[in-house]
Amino acid sequence: MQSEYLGVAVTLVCAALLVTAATVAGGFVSLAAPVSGEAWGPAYGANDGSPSDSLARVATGPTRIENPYGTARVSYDRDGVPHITAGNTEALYFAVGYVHARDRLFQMDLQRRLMEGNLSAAFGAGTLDSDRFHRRMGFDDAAEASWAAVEGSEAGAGVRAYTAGVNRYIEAEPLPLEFRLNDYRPTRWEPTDTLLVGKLIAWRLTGDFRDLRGRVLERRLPEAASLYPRQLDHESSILGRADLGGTSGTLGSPASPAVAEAGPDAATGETADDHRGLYDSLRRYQRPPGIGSNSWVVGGEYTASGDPILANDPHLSLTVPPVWYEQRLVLTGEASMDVRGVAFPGQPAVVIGQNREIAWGFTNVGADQTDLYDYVRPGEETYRYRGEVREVRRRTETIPVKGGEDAEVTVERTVHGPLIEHEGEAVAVAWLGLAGTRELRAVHRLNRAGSIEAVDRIVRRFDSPTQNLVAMEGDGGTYFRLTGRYPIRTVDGERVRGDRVFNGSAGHGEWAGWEPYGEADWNGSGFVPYEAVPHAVDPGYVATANQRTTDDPPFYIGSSTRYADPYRGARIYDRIEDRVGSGDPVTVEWTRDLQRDTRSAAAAQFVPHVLNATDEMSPEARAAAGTLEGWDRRMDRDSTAALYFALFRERIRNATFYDEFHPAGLDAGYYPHLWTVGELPADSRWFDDTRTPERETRADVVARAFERAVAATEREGYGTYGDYNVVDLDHQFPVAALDYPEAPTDGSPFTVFNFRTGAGTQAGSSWRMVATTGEGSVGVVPGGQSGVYYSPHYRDQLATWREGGYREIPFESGGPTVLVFEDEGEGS
Amino acid sequence: MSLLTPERLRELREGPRADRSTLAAFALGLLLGAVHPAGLVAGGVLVGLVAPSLPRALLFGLYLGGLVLLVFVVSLLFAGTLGRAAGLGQLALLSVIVGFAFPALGALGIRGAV
Repeated sequence: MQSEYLGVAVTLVCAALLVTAATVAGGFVSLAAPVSGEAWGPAYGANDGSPSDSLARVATGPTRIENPYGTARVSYDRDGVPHITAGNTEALYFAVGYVHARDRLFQMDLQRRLMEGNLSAAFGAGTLDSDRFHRRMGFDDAAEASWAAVEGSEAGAGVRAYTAGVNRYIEAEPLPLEFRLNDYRPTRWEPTDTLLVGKLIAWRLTGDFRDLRGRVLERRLPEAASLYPRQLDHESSILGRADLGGTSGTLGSPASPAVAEAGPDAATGETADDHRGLYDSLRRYQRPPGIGSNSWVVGGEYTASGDPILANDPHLSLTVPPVWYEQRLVLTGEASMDVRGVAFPGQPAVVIGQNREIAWGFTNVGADQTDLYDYVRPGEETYRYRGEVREVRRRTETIPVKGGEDAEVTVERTVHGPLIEHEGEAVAVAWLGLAGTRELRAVHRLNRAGSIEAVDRIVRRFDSPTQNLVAMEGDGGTYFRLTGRYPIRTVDGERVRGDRVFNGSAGHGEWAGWEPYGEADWNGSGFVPYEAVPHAVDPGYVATANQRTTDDPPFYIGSSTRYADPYRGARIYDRIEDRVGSGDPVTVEWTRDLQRDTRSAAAAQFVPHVLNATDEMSPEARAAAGTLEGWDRRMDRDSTAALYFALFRERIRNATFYDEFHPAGLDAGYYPHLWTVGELPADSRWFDDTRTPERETRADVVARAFERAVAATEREGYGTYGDYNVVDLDHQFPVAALDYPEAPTDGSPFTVFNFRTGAGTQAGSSWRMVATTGEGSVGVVPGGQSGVYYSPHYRDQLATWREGGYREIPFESGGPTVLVFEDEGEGS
Repeated sequence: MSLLTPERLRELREGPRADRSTLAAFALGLLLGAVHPAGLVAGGVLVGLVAPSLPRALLFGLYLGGLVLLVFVVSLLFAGTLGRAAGLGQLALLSVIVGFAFPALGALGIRGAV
């Protein structure tokens, strides 16, 4: 009897425990259960080189997938790079779509969710502000406009095939871990999603609200105007130091009367708002600081092989998985093509890379591609425009929120673009990418370009974003061009610069022939003619690092606030000029060494200031400053001097400007360029601390910043630069296992070997490539090819990247065929 | 006629074909445990039914959990992803806990009742 009671008690306890586990932790149990748990599904088939996959291939051959567009084969090389071969473009792009989804589906879904304002549906209310902004901007409508501009082309047909490939994967294959952990499924991929990915990239490179920033500064601290000159005082513009002997093209010249441009006071808005609140609410969504890149091409006359050499490392946000996806695409038959390089997951074509004939790369121009307009507003729902009162076009959208109530956002638009409002202040935003741009067609054609002439012809359709394109061809040609479209702004018939908020009610500064979310007459009077945009054919060498294009631009491109400090550009040109001047030929190895150059031109500018300020320092700081004497100015991880300098560099602008900017309500985001501080005279008024009766000079401020740097070093327990300069890349999804391991690296935001540490998203070389004719090209991504956590290629390149290493990127696979796409009807 | 009469259960647990029925229960339990999380409990119930005593039911449940985990580890090993799976930390640990606990609770629960 007693044992029966015991049995019943055990049964009840077990039942209670199981019911509790099912109700309290049922989701986790479904995830973690051995073998059948949701979390483990993607683990099977994630390693193409595993015993089970190898055996399966021996037994049954590669995985076979039906392809409505024709046959294609995919092999992965030892670095997880797919080599995809097909007989026609659509069959190829179908396979590319499938492969992108196989390796990067979560990233693709995240990107489109961000841009369409649909993050909250998957991640909850924490992303509502982002969703509201992106919906107000109407990026999805812009993607529709671009789709309308390309859908009838060969590239459009390719996008349809790519879309079908992505959806074939979503329908048939296991979802990545992130979807399972967060319990949602991706919706079907649409052609416009591919265009949305393009809008994301273009916005991050050219979208900004810096005209508002300028207005805030103008109103709140007008005496600071000299800190934001049209051009920084340096001599390292792209074309200014390029070897242009024998070059043809438009190189920039003093503005002719026909393009004379009025000063910044030629047009002003009519409202009294300085728009600081509005700018502060928007600046988190604009092009982040430090986003830049390096590229250069050296002609065969200076290289050991006699063939050109091209280098490119775009500095973008460092993410998990990386921004770029490396791939090789091969078309057989008449339309033959063999191209390899990196693409954006979500877009089929190679964006940076090389084919058998040419190689090319991009850096950001920093051109002004966003104009802002304010209005006289008779009422909340109206605005005055060219003498009449117009209704603001409004619609209310519902934002689904996971785990919460749906939210709403009111989308408002004027004739100029989306009307973005914050606490009663509003401006309309005309961003060039809001119209039907055609860069997708251009990149598609670029993949099979056979000559510099072809590149020049193809890039005509590269409407956005504005990029410094460098290219080379195997026969020896080199090329430089600014891509994108450059709006012509006029006020009362006179051409003006775009770096201000325009009076929208008066119709000032409009781009003729451009309609937000519609078509644009790119070859009309609203834009600078293609032939007039700076370009150079066959330069001996040219280097770009986001500095200004030329000292004498033929039209308004941008202001110093949009260009980078000249440190990287100057350093690259210094080294190229030294090499060429020495008579030693440029080689691939030398080019790699330059890409890994850690010598800081910023240090060269500031260290003398520090050493001249030691009399104003405490003994402890003076001793620390002593490490800078004899320092080779290299931002290397084992250097103590680099540590002191980096922390000093972070503080010098605050030490200089806080006393004037803070009382005006301006934080560090309004400070001028570091270069500007370095060039201020020693007795500049900006070095005087307005809070003290004494008159401070540069030495006082430099000493103060250095004292703070030394204190920070001790507070944080840093010993060398590597303790501070740590690569710490986290996955967007907050699961620690998905993050990359932390480790120190070299470089800084101002060195050629580029890395920006600090809180928030880190940035640096998102793809490092040196390309030459034939074999011998190298590249590396900061992480790995695969976004699948279980893949051996999830982060297998991270250490190589961190150490400044490379992998060969040959035109051959060497790996087994893993996927075979068969024409529907062929069967297996 | 019920299959779970005391006589039939005694036959299963102590009869001449007890070994065979135990083997069958483990085989079926392993299959169930590998296809669905609830199958871990169902498998535990199966091996618990053929356990001659309550302590043996606990052992049978743990054995079954161990078997499922062994299959799990071997399958990941062959898939070339064992190290990455183990790297998931708490999720991997939870997998081990669920793997042992669910069959054991299923086995104990049923053996206590019949």
